[in-house]
Amino acid sequence: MDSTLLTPAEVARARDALTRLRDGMARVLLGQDELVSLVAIALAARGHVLLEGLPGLGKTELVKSLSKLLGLGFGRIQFTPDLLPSDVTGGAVLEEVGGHKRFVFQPGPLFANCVLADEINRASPKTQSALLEAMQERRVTVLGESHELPSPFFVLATQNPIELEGTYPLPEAQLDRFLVKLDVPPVGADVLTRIVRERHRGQAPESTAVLAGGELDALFVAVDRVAVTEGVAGYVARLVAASDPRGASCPDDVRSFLRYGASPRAAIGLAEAGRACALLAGRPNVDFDDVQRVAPSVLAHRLVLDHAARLEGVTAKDLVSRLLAAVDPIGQALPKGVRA
Amino acid sequence: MRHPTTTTTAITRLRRRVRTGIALATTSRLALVTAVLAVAAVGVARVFGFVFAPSPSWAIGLLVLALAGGWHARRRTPLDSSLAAHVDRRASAAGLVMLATERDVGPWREALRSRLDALELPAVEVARPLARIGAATALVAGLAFVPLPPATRTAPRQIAIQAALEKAREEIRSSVEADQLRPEEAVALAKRASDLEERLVRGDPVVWADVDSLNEARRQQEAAERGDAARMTASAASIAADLAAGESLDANELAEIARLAASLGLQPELSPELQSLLEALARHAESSRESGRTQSPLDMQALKDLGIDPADLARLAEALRAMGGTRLRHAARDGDLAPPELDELRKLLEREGRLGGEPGAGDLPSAQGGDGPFDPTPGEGDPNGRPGRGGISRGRGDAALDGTNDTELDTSTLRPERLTPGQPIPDKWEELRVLRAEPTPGARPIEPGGGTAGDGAGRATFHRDVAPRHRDAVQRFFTDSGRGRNRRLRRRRWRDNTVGPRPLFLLGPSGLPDRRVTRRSSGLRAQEPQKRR
Repeated sequence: MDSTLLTPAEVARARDALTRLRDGMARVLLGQDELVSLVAIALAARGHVLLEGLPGLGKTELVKSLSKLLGLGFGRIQFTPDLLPSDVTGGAVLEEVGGHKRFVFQPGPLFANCVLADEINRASPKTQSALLEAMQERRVTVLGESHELPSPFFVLATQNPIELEGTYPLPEAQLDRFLVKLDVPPVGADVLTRIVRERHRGQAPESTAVLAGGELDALFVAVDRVAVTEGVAGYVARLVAASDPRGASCPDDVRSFLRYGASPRAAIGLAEAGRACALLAGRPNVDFDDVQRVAPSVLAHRLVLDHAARLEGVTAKDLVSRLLAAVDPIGQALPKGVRA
Repeated sequence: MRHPTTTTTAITRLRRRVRTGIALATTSRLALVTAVLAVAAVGVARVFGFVFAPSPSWAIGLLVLALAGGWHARRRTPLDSSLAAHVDRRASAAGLVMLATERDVGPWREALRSRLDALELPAVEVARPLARIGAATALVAGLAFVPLPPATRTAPRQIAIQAALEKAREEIRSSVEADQLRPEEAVALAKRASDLEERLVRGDPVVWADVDSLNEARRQQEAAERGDAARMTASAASIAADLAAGESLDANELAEIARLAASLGLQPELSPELQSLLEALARHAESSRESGRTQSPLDMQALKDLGIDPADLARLAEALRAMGGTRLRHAARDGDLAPPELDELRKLLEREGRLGGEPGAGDLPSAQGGDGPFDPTPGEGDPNGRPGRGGISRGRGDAALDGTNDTELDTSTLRPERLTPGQPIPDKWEELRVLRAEPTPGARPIEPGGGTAGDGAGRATFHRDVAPRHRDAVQRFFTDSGRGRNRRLRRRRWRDNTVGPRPLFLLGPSGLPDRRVTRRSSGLRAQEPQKRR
């Protein structure tokens, strides 16, 4: 891996690509600038995205347009309770080849660059588990045979937070594999006015690819070359360590609502998302602000809350905010004696 | 021209400011705390009589505090990586400063420099430390300049010296009352004691050597006084003897006795006639000395020619001898006589025939020691049966032994303790009695029995309440050698082997004289012969 520092020109090119992607999504999803920025950041970090929001907010439309903007193959899986793992991954079918009958692997909808797992929490845990290997190792194993998924590979899942009947909440192991979980907030009246005026029959504007061939790979390389200094890495580590309720550094107002904290995978994801965020800001290195910007989306869905949090209405994002307020980015404050 | 700010210089400047700030804050806090503690300590010390005067050496304390502040600042200074992060945030460099400390930022250097040029480092906080130091200085200055009342009490060591001075004054007063010190010399010594006491009150140092010197001066004056008294007594006795024998008198001796009587201040105690005679003797001695004539012996006729009645002179000599003798007796009773003076007195008394067994002579010690009435060592009485001094601190031998006096020691440590069979007596305890019942300690006077060995070796002392520390001495004098030890061993063996009712042992610490515990017990003496059989 190239570890040289990005030049201003390289940073500018990567930022331009990210900006085009973000702006393309913003044209489809009106009034959700922060959401589309975080989606662009997650994709630049090659992470999977879980979108949670009420029906009709444009989650599915966002994902569909994303594949067009990236110019990548698109696969959609509508998760239902009777969906089987082979419906997702594909399976072996008996075919006659050269006069001989044999099982041939028929790829499922998972074999696409950009997979929309719509209403993912409606599938059974067995089917949800079929995504685990694909999301982490980017391959599928059927009948003992592994099949590599196309690169790049993204899973963009959506789920509805209010319909609990007939749903299967995602297990923590699967949630941990999503780089970010983004809440799709409702839009205001002014945005609704625009939607009413501009979207006939709910049709989103036609999206075209905004990234030329090879530009996405260059973006990935640029993200990898964004520097993470020792101070920022220490901040990420202290932030994740403070989320462990059994740790000494966990703030008391967080500890009482937590059962389990974030995993080391969260620290890795935080640094990766921070890299992409820094690149979107036009910098060759990650700053504390980058970490603080992506931390709620990266950490919140990885915290396992205690029943006290549910009783008192404390959300995971509240706890992340408390963590960010409690953990000093520098670690060693200037002592008394100098005016800060 | 100002040099462009680099990452290193920016971090170094911040480090320097941080250290300065910490050192200043720490030093000022320490100074304030030290000042408060010092003022409190000095105040308390003044209450107890110590007076501290401000000294320039106290400024060394400031140096120590500054060193402590510097040491603390070095320990508390954040790491360079943290300082880089602080510089980064203050310069809004978005991580470039931190990056520059780890690697070459290459084309981003210009952007970094522009950020660093606009950097504003935090200022060292000066106002609060200065306020603390000012408060500390004000406290110390207040202590130095506010006049406090002089110390009313002295330090423990000075208190002891003060007590010693009071004792010295008391001894001076006693010496004057006992005619062992002349009033004018006593006044001079008392003034020395007063001067020392005033120095104590002022807080000036007074050492034990000053007190010792005062006491030594008093002793020397007393010794000189006693020497004069001894010489005068001897001369007076000699003159009286010569007059009685009708022999010629030594004129020099007459002059000397006049001088000594005047020196000792005895004139007011004489009758007017004898005072006139003493003055006549003094005038004659003075005129003879002025004329430079050689003084020849004075016979009775010569005395009459001088207007001196030999009978009056004999009365004067007798009176002076008696007065000098009284003083010497006082000194002898107090044990203050030096060997020469003692010899003078002894010769005097021997000449008077008052030695050699007369009652009352035995209370004078001997200069040479040895046997005889002056023998300070224990005696058993002279061979003709009369009681001697009685031996070891018991008083006269013919005096009744009385065990009713309370001991001055703590008798609460005396307690009965029941021992199990075969249990040896602990080393630190000494057996006083072995009883069959609970002991009933009480006072019981002992009849004077003479304490002689006439009834058999050791038997007389067996009935005495002799202090434990004197037992060995008593046994050495009144029993055969080693017999007492064998007796004790037999008694212990019997006690350890006894089966049956447990005897009670009244125990007490070694060396404690217990006069209140009776030694009469029927149990011990009834049992002991049986075991012997």
